[in-house]
Amino acid sequence: MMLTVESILKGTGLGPMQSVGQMQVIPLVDVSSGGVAERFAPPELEVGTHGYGAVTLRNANDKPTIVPYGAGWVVKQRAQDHAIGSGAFLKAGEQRVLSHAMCIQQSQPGLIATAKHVLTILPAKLRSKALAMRHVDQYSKLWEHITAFNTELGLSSVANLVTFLSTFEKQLDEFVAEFELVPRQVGAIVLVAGEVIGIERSPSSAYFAAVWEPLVRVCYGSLAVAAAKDRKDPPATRLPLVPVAKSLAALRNVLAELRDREVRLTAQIGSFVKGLRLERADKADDTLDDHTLWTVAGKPHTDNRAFGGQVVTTGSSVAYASLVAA
Amino acid sequence: MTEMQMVTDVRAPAASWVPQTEDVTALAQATLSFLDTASTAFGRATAYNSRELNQAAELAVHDALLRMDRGLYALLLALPGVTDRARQVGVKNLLGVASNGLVALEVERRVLSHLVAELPATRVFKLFVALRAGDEKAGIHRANNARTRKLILRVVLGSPRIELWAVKYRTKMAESLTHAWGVRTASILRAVLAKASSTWTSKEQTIVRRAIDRFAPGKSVEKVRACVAFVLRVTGPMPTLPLLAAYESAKTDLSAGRRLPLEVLEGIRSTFHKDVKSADVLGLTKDSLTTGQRMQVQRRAAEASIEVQMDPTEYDAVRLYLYAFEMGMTPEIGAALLEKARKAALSLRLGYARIGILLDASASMAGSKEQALRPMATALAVRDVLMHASRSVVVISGGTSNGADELLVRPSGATSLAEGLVELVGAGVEAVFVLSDGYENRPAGRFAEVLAAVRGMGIDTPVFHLNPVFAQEAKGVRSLAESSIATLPVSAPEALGLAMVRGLLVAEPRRGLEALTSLALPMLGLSTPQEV
Repeated sequence: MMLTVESILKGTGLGPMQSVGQMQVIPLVDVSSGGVAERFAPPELEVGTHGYGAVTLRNANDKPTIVPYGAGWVVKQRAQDHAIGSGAFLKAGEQRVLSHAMCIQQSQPGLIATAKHVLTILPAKLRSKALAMRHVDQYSKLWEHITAFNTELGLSSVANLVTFLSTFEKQLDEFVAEFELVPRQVGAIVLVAGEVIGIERSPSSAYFAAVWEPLVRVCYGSLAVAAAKDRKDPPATRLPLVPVAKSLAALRNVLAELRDREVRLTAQIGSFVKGLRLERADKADDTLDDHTLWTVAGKPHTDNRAFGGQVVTTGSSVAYASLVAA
Repeated sequence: MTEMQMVTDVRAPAASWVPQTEDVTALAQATLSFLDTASTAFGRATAYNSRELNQAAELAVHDALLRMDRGLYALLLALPGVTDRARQVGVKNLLGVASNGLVALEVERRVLSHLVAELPATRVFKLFVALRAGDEKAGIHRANNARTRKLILRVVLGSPRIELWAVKYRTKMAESLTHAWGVRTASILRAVLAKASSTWTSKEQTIVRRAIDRFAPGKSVEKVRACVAFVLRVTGPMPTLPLLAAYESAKTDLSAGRRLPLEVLEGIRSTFHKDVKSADVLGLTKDSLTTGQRMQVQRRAAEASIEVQMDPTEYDAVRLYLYAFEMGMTPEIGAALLEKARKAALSLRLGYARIGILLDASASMAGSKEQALRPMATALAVRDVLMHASRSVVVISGGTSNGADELLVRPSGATSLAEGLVELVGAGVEAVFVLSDGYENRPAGRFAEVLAAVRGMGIDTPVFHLNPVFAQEAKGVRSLAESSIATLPVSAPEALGLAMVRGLLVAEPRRGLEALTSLALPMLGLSTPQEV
């Protein structure tokens, strides 16, 4: 069954584009008249492991929540950090064991003591791999991909995600401050090196605020870090100020013209994104009441890259989507 | 706490100070990093950096200047606008790293005494406890030398507030004193103080005299001994000092502890009176709350329908803004803020008749959870002082404000400062002050591009970037336009004078160093730089 990105973005508008280095973000803001009904709580969970390859999650909120696919927990304890492949629903107050999880620190023993740990979301490339292997029951299934990911960035070949996180900690932290949430923001279109590589739609601004930091810091930040290694010049989608103005009045006009061009560029990107089509998997990954979690994939659009990810549908509407082209 | 007491005129000629090194440029560079760190770093996470990263960067900056010029390092710690956190680190460093002999011990002792006297009691005890253990990973040196021991004993036993400290910081005070005396002496003292002084042997009298009495001022020897006995948990008859007696009595009758600090009585309630509500403790102690507590308990008090008086004029402007963010702005708080700004502006000679103020109110100015809204509160407080220091035009970028609370701007949205710069320069102001954390995204670098374009037109209006946020990646504060703008750290309006001198340090290192020392020396009661 087909799904359009236009249907995913229904009820949202495009905010002004933010650009820093190789990354750009177009905020998606809620423009529905009554605001978004807060049907899902942010995924602030208690997390623990009682063995390798399974994660125990508890949703202490009074509303159900959606655990994003590729979610991970990197803890300071001497414990094996874990991530999950598929996303999942958790009812209000529910505790649930997600099997088919994976270890992301090859040689680290130890179990994660149950507590509220900071959520991370796997680097985009690893997130796609983790989703593709969501049904594989093998705790070491991501190791070879972590090794390849680290090696590509010139890091040690050990299958340890912490190597990446600690090496690029400074850059990753900066992404959090550099890309700011705007009022009523419920999603984002993310570009790296001038290409659209992410589309995020959350059920509410509170939910989005909770997932934005792990998304921009690690999931998309990883792509920006890689892009910055190869490119020094800003992407063409970051419009430069050409110093031709001879007076303040002329400079004001140049700035206004740049703003207009940014608005047009943003609209063009929005149109491109809305035109993307995705195919839904035959079988749902999870259900909760009238909500269904699906894995989706699109056709390659640029650089042979295609969007893939998961969406939550409620009847004919889309409550949540996280799509990455990596 | 430190208050700005001198008039700072950045254009005034500097005194003649001769630094102890020939490489003045390197010294100025280390000093710049130190000033940025010492006036903005709180040893906590920011919106951008973890606490561990920030602390490592902060301690490295301290260490660099300490090793380059110990005397200058000690002096600068006394500057107005230097944070308590920086002073705490400074004291640890001066005590933990052996002196190189270039700085007179008497001068360093004076600096140390001044620094400790300026710190709040909680930080003093935290510092003393940290000196005992040390933390090499965090760059904190263990210090157990004679200077350290004497400093601890002089500060604790010589304090006129020793009785209050004894009930409020009982465990930490015992730890600090035990560290200074050594475990054996502390144990002997515990045994000696358990007996009536009339029964002490001459040897025991000598021990008490050496360990306690010689640090106790004048006629307070009995009081100090009683406080020491209390913190060392010496068993004996009911204490006679009022607070110590209240402490013991409150264990059986909570109301007998009404003169105790709130947190102390709350501790007794939670141990000995578990059936009594926490709100009752607030009711009992509401008249003995400290100034800080009066502000902290307002929400709790309102929920328990207890009226706790709070005078907004007793708090600094940053704290008032933080309070207003939480509880809402009132006319009284607004009036106190404006009055404080007016007073602070009197001691700040900017030298400009008309200035432009560009206020970044974007989302990142909310700061981290560890110090929520502090960057915005600082920026607002600095804005108020600047507005009173000169005629001004204000442009706000981002943020939301309620029409009734015009003073209060809540951080929100993206950062776009370039248009504001053009607007202010176009308004013909003599200087532009940008209050921002330095993170720009609409797009990043646009401010620098516009500034370059403005300069290309031959417009040389000075632009100062005042930044309230420490950034570990910049080893100081992050700039909006690295090569073409003076970026000055500022943690509070009181530190504005220091920030302006920093600008001078960039342009003219030697004059900047001279100006800095001339700011610091009066704080220590020293009149000429040569004394250091």
